[in-house]
Amino acid sequence: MISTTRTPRNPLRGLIPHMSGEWAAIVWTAAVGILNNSALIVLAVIGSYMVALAVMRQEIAAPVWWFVGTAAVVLRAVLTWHEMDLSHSIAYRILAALRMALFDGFARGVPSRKPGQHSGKLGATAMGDVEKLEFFYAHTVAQLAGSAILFISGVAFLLPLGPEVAGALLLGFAALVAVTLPGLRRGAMLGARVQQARSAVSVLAVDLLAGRREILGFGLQENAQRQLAERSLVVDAGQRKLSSFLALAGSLRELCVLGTVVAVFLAAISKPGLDAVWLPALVAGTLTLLAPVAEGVATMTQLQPHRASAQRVLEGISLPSDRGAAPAVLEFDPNGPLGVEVKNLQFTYDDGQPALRPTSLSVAPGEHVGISGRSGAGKTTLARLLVRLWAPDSGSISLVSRNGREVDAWAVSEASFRRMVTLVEQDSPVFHGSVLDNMRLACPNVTASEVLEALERAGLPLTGDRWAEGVDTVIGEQGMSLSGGQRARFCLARALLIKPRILVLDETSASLDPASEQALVKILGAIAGETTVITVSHRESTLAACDRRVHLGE
Amino acid sequence: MLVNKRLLQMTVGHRGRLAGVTALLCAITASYWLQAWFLAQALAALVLWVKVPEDHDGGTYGPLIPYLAGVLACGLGRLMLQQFHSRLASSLGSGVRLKVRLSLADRLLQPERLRDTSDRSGARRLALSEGVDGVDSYISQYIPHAFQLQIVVPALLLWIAWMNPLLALALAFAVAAAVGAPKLWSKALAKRGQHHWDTYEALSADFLEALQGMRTLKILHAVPRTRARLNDRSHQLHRATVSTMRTSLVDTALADFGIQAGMLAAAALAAIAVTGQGALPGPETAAMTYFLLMLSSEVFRPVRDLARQWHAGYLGLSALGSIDAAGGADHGKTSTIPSTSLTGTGTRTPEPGRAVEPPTTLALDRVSFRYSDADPWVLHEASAEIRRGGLTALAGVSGAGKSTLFDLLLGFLPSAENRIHMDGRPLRPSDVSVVSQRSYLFPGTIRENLRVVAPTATEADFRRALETAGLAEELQAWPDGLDTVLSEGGGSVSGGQLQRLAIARALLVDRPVLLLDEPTSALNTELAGRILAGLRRESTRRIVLMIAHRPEALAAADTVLRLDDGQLFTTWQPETATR
Repeated sequence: MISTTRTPRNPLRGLIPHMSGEWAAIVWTAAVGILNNSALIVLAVIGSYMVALAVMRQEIAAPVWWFVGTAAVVLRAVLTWHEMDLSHSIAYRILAALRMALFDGFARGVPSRKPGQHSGKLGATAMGDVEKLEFFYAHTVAQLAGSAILFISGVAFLLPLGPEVAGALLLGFAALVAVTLPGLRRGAMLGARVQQARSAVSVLAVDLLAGRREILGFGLQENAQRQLAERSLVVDAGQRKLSSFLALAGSLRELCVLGTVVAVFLAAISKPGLDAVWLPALVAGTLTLLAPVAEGVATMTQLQPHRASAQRVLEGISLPSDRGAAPAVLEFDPNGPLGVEVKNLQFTYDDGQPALRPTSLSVAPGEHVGISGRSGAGKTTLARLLVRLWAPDSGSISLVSRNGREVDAWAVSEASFRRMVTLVEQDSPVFHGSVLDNMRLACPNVTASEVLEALERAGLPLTGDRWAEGVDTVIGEQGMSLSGGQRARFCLARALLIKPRILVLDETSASLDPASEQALVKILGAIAGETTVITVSHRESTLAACDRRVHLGE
Repeated sequence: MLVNKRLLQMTVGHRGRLAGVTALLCAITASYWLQAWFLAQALAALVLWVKVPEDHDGGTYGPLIPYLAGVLACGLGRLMLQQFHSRLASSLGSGVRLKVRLSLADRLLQPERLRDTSDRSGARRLALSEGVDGVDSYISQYIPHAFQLQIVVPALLLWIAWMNPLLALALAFAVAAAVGAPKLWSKALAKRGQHHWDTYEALSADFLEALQGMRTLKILHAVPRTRARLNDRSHQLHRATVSTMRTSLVDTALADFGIQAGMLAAAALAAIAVTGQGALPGPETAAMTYFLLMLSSEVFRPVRDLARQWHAGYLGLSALGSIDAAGGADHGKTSTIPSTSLTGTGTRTPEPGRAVEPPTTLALDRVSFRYSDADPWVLHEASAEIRRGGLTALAGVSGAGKSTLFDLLLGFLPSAENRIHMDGRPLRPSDVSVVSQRSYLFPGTIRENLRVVAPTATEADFRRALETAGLAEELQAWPDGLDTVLSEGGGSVSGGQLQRLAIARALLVDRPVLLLDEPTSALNTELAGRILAGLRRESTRRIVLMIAHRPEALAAADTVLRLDDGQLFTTWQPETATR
């Protein structure tokens, strides 16, 4: 249940396993990075040497130096492009994979039994947080490894010049680490605060969009704007602190580098036997050597604010399922309608509210059963349990074939279960796209004429100006261009296309006028027999046509 | 020339801060020049050391110290400047961000948006959150850096030209190549950036829709197919991102090439110049040589800084398209927030408590409406008079235009002529309280949901409204009572409870007209009867009109308006047994 247990203490470390498959490319990036930085060092050393030679000895450097310098300039430009291109490509490739891993997590854990889940928050994780991790995947592992190797070789190279110069370099590194370490926690904390505030903005954005009608109807625009401004300001406050912190860390690192340069300068100057002409080159070389090291250390600081994003992405990926553990493998595909055997089914929401008290129910294959009950008795919960949206806390659901074979509903494989049992909800969503797009969600290979036929059966013939483009008519998100009654019939048609063995209807008739309701009852009467129909309704007129009625909650 | 005009316009009203941020950036860059001078002096001191090698312990070591201390002092001073800069840039960014976000929200909260079938909440969510953040980084980071480059580089080049014209010319060429070359493909880049954002937006919209409809996707076994589609989109996004980035990175590489080539050229020129002078130069000449050389490298600092902002720059540019699609940020004239955010819906003053005068009649006088000239009339010269003191039902077959009539009463649809009057004056949107067919309750507690529409109502008012809406039992049963938390879209309560909460909310708003769209559709007969009785009581205080098609609701009404073929037909019902 608790997903955080799977996340390591430092969520950034949890991001590393997602790099597997990219290791070869990452090693190559590191190599290119080292080569690139070496070219820069060579360039700095040669440039300084040439100038020093001219200034101190009035000599022009040998042509080979000029040649090496020019080559380094070209190499540097090409390698800069190649390194950045490479590291970013890897990063974005991993991000695409992460996003899908997140979708899998969401597919398991949405909708949750917990009330706190919000699509705005999850949406922000999938888009914003994932994008933030670009920094981690593009700038961390290869760069850190590259600058470490570079630094160690640099120190080894300088060691023959005596302990002073190498010592100054090591001291500079120690200083860089010393100014960075104490701030790491603060960076993480500030970053978490900003991310949380951003997510709150996203949640509000989703609510504003979904609740537009109410906001306009009740004149809540000012209120909405105020809330948006408040939440924006929270982000800003955190952001201000964070960028000021990052700027301070940057300045301190720069001071360390300057200090190191001064120290190397002084160490070298007091070194007898070192040709003065090489002194500026030594200083310039040290400076360019230290730059990637400082950048590597900077990465550690800049990474901290992304901890929160990493945490949320990892949580999303490992979102627990609200369903049973063991994967179902049983293929169960008997002919004809199926019966249902429900024994002592119980379900409680995570906040402790019992949603369904122990319930037993037996439905024969082909039967048309009505389920009634007072508001809040658990009718909808029962419907959702019947179609395996949630796993019951206790009790069992079995499917029964006409020849009496009984299998546990949870033992049947997902694909065959979904082909056999389906549910039309009170407020089933219609998705953005055309009529055909929506129908193909249920049946990928369905033809236009089959769709028209199903719609006609459900009482929604596509005639008139509204449907001028037939099955290609575009329906807005949430089916906003359909009336409530049209939506209900649309979703019924979608379910009929599946040709289910058990059809569960949850208050499908609630928004229908009496004529449409009677038409629906007639359709159900017609398919009952070939399909088992379980109608959940509070409405006498809908239940009247059922073979048998069960009252829930008594 | 380096800055997008539309985005620059968004800084109107924050120009002072923008100038401040730019000035601080220039000052930071100038601090490197001072540092270069100190370092040049220190290096020049070495020349002396070479000239008189035996003397270096006593004489040369000393003068080095103040120069090196100067270098460190420059670093310290810069630390302060950078702190100021970061603060000012944040405040600039937050100012702009707030303005753009509020203006965007204002555009999205317009009634005509309710019927825009191309509007996808995932895309709009992206514009409101990440999109606005992208604009912020463009404005607070990219623009000041671009300005800095345009100020500092010419100034520095002039200075160098004054000392060494040949060097300045070489540097100018290098800078021109580094800054100018990317202009050649800037258009292609902008296009790709736009394409990239479109893909990002489409993915965001699909993701949010899938999240919100996950239950249905599971039931239809459409999760694997949806996953495949998202995966496809995600790969498209990857490709779009990488192709945009690849071009952007050429800029960075070119800037780098200009820098290194320029530096090498500068070193060569300096070396040739110095050796051409013949005799051994003094420390002054050496210092000048080093200083010039370091200044030459400083010419490229702003170029490199700007190249580092490519991410910010390209995020801002591509977010602009998304913001435009969501309604635009007012094309620069964003000073309309939030005072005029109410223009579209008339003046909405806070409810003045219970002092509303009970209205007498709501009159529709030959109201006509159609969605466009090509569409058939939904209402055609429909007239009716709805009186207080009785329940009025609006009936009609599915698709007759009942909801359209409600939208007209609510002011969601524009009706050209003032043909709807309440007590002789035009009906205002703020006269109307409403229960929609699919009510949205905001995530949070019940109390918060009620409080937001009726800020002045008391605890007793809340309970009374909830009881009238038939929620007395639930209120008893819920352990947290009014503090019961509703999850997103009200998913934590049943459909019937949600409907009754929406009714309670509408009852609390004390407006002269109450509209209800099928208020009892999710309720059983007994509860429906109780609520209809409550509405009937309410109709002595205000005009109550409900869309109804259930027999029990129709039977409970005193007057039935039947909408048929764009016309309204009124029937007064005799006292029925249901009362």
